[in-house]
Formats: sequence, C-alpha cells, structure tokens
Amino acid sequence: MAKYLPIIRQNMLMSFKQGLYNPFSALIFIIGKIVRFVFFLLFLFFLFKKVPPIAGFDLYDLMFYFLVFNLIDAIAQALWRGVYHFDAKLYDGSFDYTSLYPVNTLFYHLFNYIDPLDIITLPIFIGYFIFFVVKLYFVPAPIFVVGFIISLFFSLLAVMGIHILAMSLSFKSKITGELLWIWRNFSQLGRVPVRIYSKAVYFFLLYIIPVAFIINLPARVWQANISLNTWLIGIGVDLLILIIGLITWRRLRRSYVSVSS
Amino acid sequence: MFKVFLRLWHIGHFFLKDSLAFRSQFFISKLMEVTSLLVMIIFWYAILISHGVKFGSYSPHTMLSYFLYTFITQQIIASTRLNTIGDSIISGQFTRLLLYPISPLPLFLAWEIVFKLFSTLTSLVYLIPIIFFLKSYLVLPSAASSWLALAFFILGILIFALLTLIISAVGFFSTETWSATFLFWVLAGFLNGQYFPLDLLGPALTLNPFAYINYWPSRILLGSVDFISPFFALFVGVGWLIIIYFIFKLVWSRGLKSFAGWGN
Repeated sequence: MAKYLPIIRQNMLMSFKQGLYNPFSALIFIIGKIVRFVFFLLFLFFLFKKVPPIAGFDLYDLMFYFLVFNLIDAIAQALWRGVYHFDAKLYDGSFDYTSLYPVNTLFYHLFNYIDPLDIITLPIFIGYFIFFVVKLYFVPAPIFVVGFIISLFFSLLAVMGIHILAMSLSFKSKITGELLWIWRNFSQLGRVPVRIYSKAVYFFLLYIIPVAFIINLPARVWQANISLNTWLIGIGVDLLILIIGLITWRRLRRSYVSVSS
Repeated sequence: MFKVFLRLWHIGHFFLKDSLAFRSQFFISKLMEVTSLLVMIIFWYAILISHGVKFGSYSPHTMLSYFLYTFITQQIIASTRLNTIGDSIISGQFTRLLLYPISPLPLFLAWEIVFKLFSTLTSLVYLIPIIFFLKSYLVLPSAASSWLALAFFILGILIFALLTLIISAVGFFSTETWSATFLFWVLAGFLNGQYFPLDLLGPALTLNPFAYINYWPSRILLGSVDFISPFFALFVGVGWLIIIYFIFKLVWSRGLKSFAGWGN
C-alpha cells in the first residue's frame, strides 16, 4: 500500500497538470457538469412533483435515490476515467511499455488518469447531497449513516470490478469505452428504486446485472429499509463482482499479443 | 451532374470503409444503442404503464410512444460524423480536406448522408422487433403526420449539422473542442426534448432551435398538436435554420482565414 500511494499521488498531479493546462476549457466543462446536474434535479422535480407516490416512493425518495446514483457514478468517473482509453493503449503499443514498469500493471492502468475536473466537481455533489439529506430529507440513526458509507465503499469496489472486467474484455474486443457505456446504461435503471420495475426486470437487476446491490444498496441502508441478511448478501455480491473482474483480467491478459511497438 | 454524383458516391464509399475498419467496435457500439433504448423503455414502461402515471395532457401510451420516437429521431438526426472535424482542425489533418477537389460543405453533406443512411438501416435491425413487441402500447403515426414529420426531420438534420459544424469551428480558435462539445450536448440534451416533452414546461420552450432536433419530429409523429400550429413551428424552424446558416458562414470564413494548418 505504501508503495502505491505515492504512485496515485504522482498520477493525480500529472492528471491535474494535463487536465487544467487549458483553464478556460476546464471551466466550461465544470460548468457543463454542474448545469447537467441541476437540470436533472429540476427535471425530476417538475416532472414528478404532481404525480402520486410510485410503489410507495415519493418525490423526495426518488431524488434521494438519484443523488446516491450520482455520487457513485461521479466518484467512479473521477477515479477510473483513464480506463475509458485503455483500448488505445492496446493499439499504440504503450501497454507493452507500461507492462515493464515495476508496478502492478492492472493498478497502473486503473489509476493512471484520475480526472481532475471530476475531482473538482465532486465536493459540489457531496455538498448538495449533505444539504439535501439534512434540510429536505432526513438523517437516520448514526449506525445507518456508517452502514451507508460502508455500502458506498463496497458499491465502488463492485464498480471497480466492472471497470476491470471491461479492460479484460478489451484484450479480445479491442474496445473499452463502449463496454463501459453498456454498463452505465444499465446502471441508470438504478437512478430510481429498482422495486418500481416489473418482477422480471427486478429479477434481472438482482441476479443478472445486480444494479440493485451496486447502486441501490447504500440508499436502502440510509432509509433503514433492509435486513442484515440482505445487506450482507449485497456486500457479498459487490465483492463477487470485483473477484470476477480480477479473475477475468488474469485469464484474458494471457491472450494479449504484443503489437511489437 | 453525373460527375458530382460519382464523386459523392466515392466519398461515401471510402467513408463507409473507414467506419467499418474495426467490426467489433461497430458491433459493440450498436449493442450500446440497444441497451440505451431498452433501459429507456424499461424505465418509462414501469412509470407509465405499470404504475399508470400521467404527465400533463399526455396519456401513458402517448408518453411511451413519445420517448420511443425521440430515440428514433436521435438515431437519425443526431447521429453524426461531423463532430470529428473539430479534432481534425486541431491535429492539422484538416489541411488534407482543403486539398480535395470539392469544397468542404458538399463533402461534409456527403459524409452525413452516408453515415445517417448506414446508421438508420443498421438500427432497424433492433428497432423493428422492439416496435413490433410494443405495438399495442404505441400511438402509431398517421400518413398525414408522417409527411409533416418528414419535413421536420429534414429541418432537424440541417439545423443539427450546422450547429455541429459551428461547434467544430471552435478548433480554429482554440487548442481543443471537447469542452465546447460537452457544453453543447448538455444544453441540447435538455432543450431538444429527449428527456421530456417540452410543452409540459410551456409552449415557448418548444420554439428553441434544439427542439427541432428531437421534440418536433417526435411530437408530430404522435398526431395532433393543439397548443401551437405545426406550420408556425415549421416556419420558426426555417427562420432558425437561416440564422444558424449565417452564423456558420461567419464562423467558418473567419476560422478558415485564421487556420494555419500546422503539424501536418
């Protein structure tokens, strides 16, 4: 761990220099991100303020689930933005080069570009989340807040597993960004409680692509709307996704053939 | 005339070959489109059909149809290759295009026509089964509304292409275009009606230029429009097209004058 922290710090510094070398573009991007976030909240508010609760979830529940989804999505984008361009490294041969580094190759490619612009917008999202739960929603007993943070951590481990899976499949498909977008499309079903969907979709989001455990689990803990057993199963599923990602990486990396750069 | 057609045919042919150089990429990007559509249908089906939620004057079936039509219009109108021009200006590859024995605008139009035809035809592979499956929940367009929608489609394609070219022209004056493109898509995403029918927030919003990319073609396919005359909307759209065309001319003529074509 002590070996990897300086590498993350160095990568972060380089990412910041790279990402902020054109401050005007960076500013426009950050404004765009905030505008999109505000638009989505307004969209939810105006569209659902006059409709009756859906499957027992009112407007504020829906907004809360959206904010939790946004938190997981934003942190994942900030930490693993470099993964989207992993396929380019397979084409141009830089994967060969980085494989020679005295550092774990998977770790290097996972954290080689920590997006500074997402890191800058993250405090705004976190700040609004805190404002929302304190002023407009509710803060549960401390044990559920701790449970929420633990669940969020495991959700992020699962999302990291999915990023590793996409990188692993790139050895075969030579494409990473679009594979991640397929996951992000499905993850959007978790912007609302998955219980609102039909039984077949609910089953799919529970057992096939477990959005219920990855995206919805922290929100359910905050609402104290989950049994200990289900929570433990959720944590187990999150860990299982990470393990599947790691195993796939180990296996498919063997199929990589150098481009002789 | 034949020579021009032959020239455009060759441009399209090479462009298609270039687009299909990586087949697995093409297949996965189509899979991405399918998942995006399925997720949208699953979400709105649950809200509208399963829970019977009604938004304004839109019945659940009308609303579900609206979202399906916005997806189709997005595929046809907003699928573009013109967004790569900004990067080619910055990298200097744009110099190559200027040396072609055809001026840039017809060249871009030939690219757009081929790309849109190809994108639409390949999307039909999954769109037809999905429409067939959802047939009983959809408000299908009448012949009259289909013809009117076609006019809005053409208008939307032209407006969108010119807006994309204006955004690409940022490459003439800056070292990157991605931030401007991102902001454009954020604004377009909310003002073009792909997330909700714009008239739910008032008729004035339906006359913004982005509304012609998604909202109007989809809304016309649904049938009668009671809050505003579709012909008035078409008239305003043509007005926007003229304004955007002059902005495009201005920005591109200034951009081409300042273009140094370095590094290639």
